Amino acid sequence: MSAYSIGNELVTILRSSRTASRLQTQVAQLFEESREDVFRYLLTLGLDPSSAQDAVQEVFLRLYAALKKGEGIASPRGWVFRVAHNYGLHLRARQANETRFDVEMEERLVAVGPNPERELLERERIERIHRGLDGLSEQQKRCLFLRMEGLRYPEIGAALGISASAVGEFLRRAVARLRKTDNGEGER
Amino acid sequence: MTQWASGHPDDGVLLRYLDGELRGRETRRVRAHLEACWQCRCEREALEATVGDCVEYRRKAMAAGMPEPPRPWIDIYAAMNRQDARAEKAAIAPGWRWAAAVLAAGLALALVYRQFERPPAVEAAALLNRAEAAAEARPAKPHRVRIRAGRQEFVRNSGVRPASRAAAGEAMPAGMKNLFERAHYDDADPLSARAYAEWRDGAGEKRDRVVESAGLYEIRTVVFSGELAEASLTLRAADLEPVAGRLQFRDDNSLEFTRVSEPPAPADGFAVASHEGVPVRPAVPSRPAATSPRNSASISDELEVLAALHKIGADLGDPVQVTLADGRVAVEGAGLAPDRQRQIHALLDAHPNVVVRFSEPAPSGGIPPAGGDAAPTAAPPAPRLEARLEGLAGGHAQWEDLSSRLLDANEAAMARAYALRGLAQRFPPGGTTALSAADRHTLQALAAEHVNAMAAQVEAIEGSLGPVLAGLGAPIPKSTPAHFAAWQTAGEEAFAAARRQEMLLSLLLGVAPGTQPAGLPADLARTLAEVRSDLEECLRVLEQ
Repeated sequence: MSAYSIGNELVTILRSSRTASRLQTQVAQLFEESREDVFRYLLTLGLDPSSAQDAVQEVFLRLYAALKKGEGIASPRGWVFRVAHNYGLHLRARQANETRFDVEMEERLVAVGPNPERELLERERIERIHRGLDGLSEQQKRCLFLRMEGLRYPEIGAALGISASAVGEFLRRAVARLRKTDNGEGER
Repeated sequence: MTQWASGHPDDGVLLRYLDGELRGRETRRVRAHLEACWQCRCEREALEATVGDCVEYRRKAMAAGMPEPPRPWIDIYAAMNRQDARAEKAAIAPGWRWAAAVLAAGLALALVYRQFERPPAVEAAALLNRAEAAAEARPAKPHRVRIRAGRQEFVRNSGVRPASRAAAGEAMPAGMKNLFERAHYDDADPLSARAYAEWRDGAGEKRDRVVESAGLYEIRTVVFSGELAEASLTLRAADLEPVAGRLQFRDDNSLEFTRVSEPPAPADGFAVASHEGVPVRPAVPSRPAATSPRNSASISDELEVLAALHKIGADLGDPVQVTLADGRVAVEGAGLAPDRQRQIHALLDAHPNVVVRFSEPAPSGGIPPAGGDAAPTAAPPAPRLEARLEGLAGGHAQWEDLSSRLLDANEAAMARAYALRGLAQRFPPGGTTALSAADRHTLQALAAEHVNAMAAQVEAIEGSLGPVLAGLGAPIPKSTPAHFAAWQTAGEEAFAAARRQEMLLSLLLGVAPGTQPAGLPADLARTLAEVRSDLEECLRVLEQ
């Protein structure tokens, strides 16, 4: 092997090592910022906390592998939610015989604030929203949860396999339903 | 730009506006409207309040109220490094590729070994049932079975009445007969799924193994008690016709039976090569491009000959056989009309390494007709069914006309089925790797043409027969999806289904011997759908 080719190989190795290191930093940063959000989203899909945590880690490692392969990913956060959504549903399908994980509202609203009166009002408000959310269709709920996580319509559409305009329509209906609940117009 | 029906943007437009999902011009339009419209500003605030509720809910009921991850999060850097290390290990250095090849070969051997070790993919009993059903659907045809017991050999005429055998002076050697009796195995037609199934049902504790390879199923049954130690029956996968069998006794005696190939009878109107199968020949790779002149024929020459014969339709029923052997492509025919012979000579004589030979048909060498065993004659449809069929067709004359059209379409479909099966057997799935891209293209184009032509005929049959079958309470079902990895397998399945279709149609039209079973219309409807789905699958694989 000539000195020239050895030099070339070394440059390639260094370049690839630098690229890998940059990608690792990028993925690790996103992992720090978003892991809790993705974890929570997976819980809303009905995964139990342990499976959800494993899934989050798996998804971020997949993101790293995809970026390393040179896949052009315009929005890594959107990508992570899309893959997490599909992977989460896959895991749910495999655990179809198990009870869907759900946390009772009572357990969620523990000690919201120091002022009991304010706490009560706040609690009633959250419970009302919760009832409203319960009345939404599965697709409306998923669009809404992903929107809450800051995803744009096309990203939500990519995650759920629907068009951005369909996402807009699901969100419109979801918001309209929540408003009706809020106004005490009954829940259909 | 979309007009707002009420003169105001609806809640969907407003929500998209708030979410920044509107296009530039639309955004400016909504913003301008909001500046001027109190009503819409209130609407916007209400929407924002609901959005605020959602944010609050996420913060209080989801972020704070949901369970925490049960374990500390992994060190993502370490996990990514581990992933990199695994990927590097997988990418073996070029110098070690030979080792990888050896490893791959070892793995392949292990897989082959496992193939034989694992439990049967197809249950023996189910396969035997299918084989029995297929045998029943085939036209009853006498055939000869060679039976060997040590050095003793005997040819049994099967498929004929015992009286006929006796009249023909056929007597099995006593020692052989005794072995069949010891095995409790029917010696009348030993090479049949029925005989094997009957013996198997009567055997005590046993274990089956079914192996599929090279277009054959081998059922092997090990018996734990009794005279027999093991028995096996080999079936052709395409039509489940038994081709070989063996009974192994505990005292080292054995009985082997194989089907005796009858000499082709060109006068029967079918292609010689089609009926007797394609001779197995060693794989000859495609001719390398721009290699000329050539001293020895290759698979490319064989394909060229097949394509040339196909152009004049000589692969659709003419008794013409093509073989590639000893560096030449031999094209042989028997009983062809002089004009047809001249046509084929003109087509192929200029082709180097191709030999064209024609001969007159030899007198039939089949099984001599046994005394008192009259040839089966076609049974007309049972009077009641015939009347119903005529009624459904609109009268006797219409039914006669429909019958002839169905028979014509069926004949055309079967010619294609035989031609397709011929190609599938001549170029089996594993054997096409030696073909060049151009040869593979030629082969696939030939196969696709047969599939399309056959599908068109099947469609014509369905079109004519569908209303009649529906009238009999047996509408043709929709195609059930079939999945095959190779077009050859799909083609063989289509052929087998087409054979059943031919038999059932012949029974329905009263042109084949045999009684009409009660479920005949439904069977025929199902089989037609099966042929169609096999052809669809074959075409799908061919077009990939």
